Amino acid sequence: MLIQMENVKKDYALGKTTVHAVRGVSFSLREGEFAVIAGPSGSGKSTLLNLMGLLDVPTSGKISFEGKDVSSISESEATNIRKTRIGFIFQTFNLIPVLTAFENIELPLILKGKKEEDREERTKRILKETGISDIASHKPDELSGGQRQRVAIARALVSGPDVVFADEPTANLDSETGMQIIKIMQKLNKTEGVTFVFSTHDTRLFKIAGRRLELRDGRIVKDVVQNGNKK
Amino acid sequence: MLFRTAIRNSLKYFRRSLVIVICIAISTVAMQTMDGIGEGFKMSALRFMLNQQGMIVFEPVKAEPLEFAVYSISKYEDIKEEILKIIPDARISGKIFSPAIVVKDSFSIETAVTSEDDISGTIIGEKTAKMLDSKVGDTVILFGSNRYGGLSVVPAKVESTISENFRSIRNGKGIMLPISLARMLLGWGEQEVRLVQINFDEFWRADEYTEQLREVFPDIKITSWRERLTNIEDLFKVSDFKMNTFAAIILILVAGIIMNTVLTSVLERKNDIGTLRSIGASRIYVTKMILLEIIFVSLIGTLIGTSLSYIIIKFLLKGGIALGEVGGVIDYMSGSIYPEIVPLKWFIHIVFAIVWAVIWSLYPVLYIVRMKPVDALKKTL
Repeated sequence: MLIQMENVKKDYALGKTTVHAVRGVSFSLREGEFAVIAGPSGSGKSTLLNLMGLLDVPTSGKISFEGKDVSSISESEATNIRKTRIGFIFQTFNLIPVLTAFENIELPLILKGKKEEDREERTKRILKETGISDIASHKPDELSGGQRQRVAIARALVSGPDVVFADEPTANLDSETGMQIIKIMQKLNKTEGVTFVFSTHDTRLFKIAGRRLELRDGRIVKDVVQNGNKK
Repeated sequence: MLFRTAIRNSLKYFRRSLVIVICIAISTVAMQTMDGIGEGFKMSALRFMLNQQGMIVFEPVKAEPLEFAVYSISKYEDIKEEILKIIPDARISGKIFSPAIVVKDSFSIETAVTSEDDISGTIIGEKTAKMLDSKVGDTVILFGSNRYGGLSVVPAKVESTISENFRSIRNGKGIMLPISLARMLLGWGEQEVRLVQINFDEFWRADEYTEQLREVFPDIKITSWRERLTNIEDLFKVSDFKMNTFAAIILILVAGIIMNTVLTSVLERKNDIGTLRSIGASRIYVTKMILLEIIFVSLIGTLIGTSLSYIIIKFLLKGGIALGEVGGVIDYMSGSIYPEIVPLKWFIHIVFAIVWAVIWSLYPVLYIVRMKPVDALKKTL
């Protein structure tokens, strides 16, 4: 099992009140899954992705990554896992504005300490796979939303992670581009075998995923395996 | 990639970079200009004092403070010749100091008598002149003790009076005599002087010349200015303190601006920093990236500041600065000071300005890198 969540809760203090963003969530993710976390705004999708991606720590419960408890690991350990095993795609693309598309994609490889030739070879390959070789030298503000998200996908995949978390990757894109982005992710899931978990409230995208986790008020209300996948 | 990102970030956030550049340039100018003026003051004060007191001084070996009228250096002209063989550009001056009692109209005052070769007549300080009710043309009677302990009486015609704070007539209470008159008062021969002062251009060679002169004149006490002016460092410390205080005030003001600017800058890029942290950049990596940017911007600031300092110093060198404006450390000094550039100290100031910027950037940088990635990724604080 790649990721296992056991009765995971996350509370936030908002002034004097406590917001229960995730209320005792339990589920497992296998390697190679293409899962969607569905739910309306405020249902806890982003919080759940942040917890799975080790960007945040749970208030209680246990999160295991490949069998290892990562609920209370140190920040440096979490950074190391994010660097080597996890990729992120954000709703607002989150590309580094002063770097070109090529440099943005290359960045995780630099953080991993890869040699220059290796970096160049991998970056060029992923640029080709995501169909953005022609915009490699452009900076983010010279790119369209769809192109930016492709760069973000390439950046998330370039270092060969086990799992990629995408937080509403299509929210800032028109429906056609959004669908294209999801299809690229789906293709890479099949060809590279990378586990994808993405959140959305776009019902059209629910059908594409192999598994659908529906979230309401911080709880999983439905966990559906579809499109011939096994749970 | 780190350096490239740092440079591009500093260009992207140009206004904030510009604030830091200006702050560092001001700090550098403050430190370097104050140092230049301070060094110039030291050098001017040193030259002034050496000209007054001599770079090398010859005194009789057995001279004691209360017996100085008794001992003298004889064969003054022969000594001058020997000195000139060792120090060709030497400016040699024989001096006589003697206590005396000056009397006129039954009023008496104890005063000191100074004599120099170039004094042609009797010059009296204004305060002394008032006390003696004397004016130019009057004759004052000087009573002194000659070398044998006997009384000597010398009439001296007042050639002119001089204002206060002039050279060695401190507070105007003194009389400057021609050397011949002083000799008469002391009962000394023509070749006798109380001490010999030597000045020359290369004052830093005083110790070297002193050693050579000691070999030639083993019976005379010879001291260089470094051996006599042991408290000069204290005087310079006062000057340094004044200059450093001014620079410190500027540095403290600048520190606040830098900290505030860097804090605003990192908060503006909170999302980028959160992104970097989420894709696996360590806290150290992000810290390095931001500090490199600060160092790069500060380096530009120091280069601009150093250029400005150089222009200011060159401008000040044209007219000099009146000594009184420096703070009256030596209130009887006259003339102007000319700032001096000490390259090593300027280099230290450049390094210090950069380190100063880094130190005051540390709080904002540590604040942002210690933030959880998920918090850094939030749109609001």
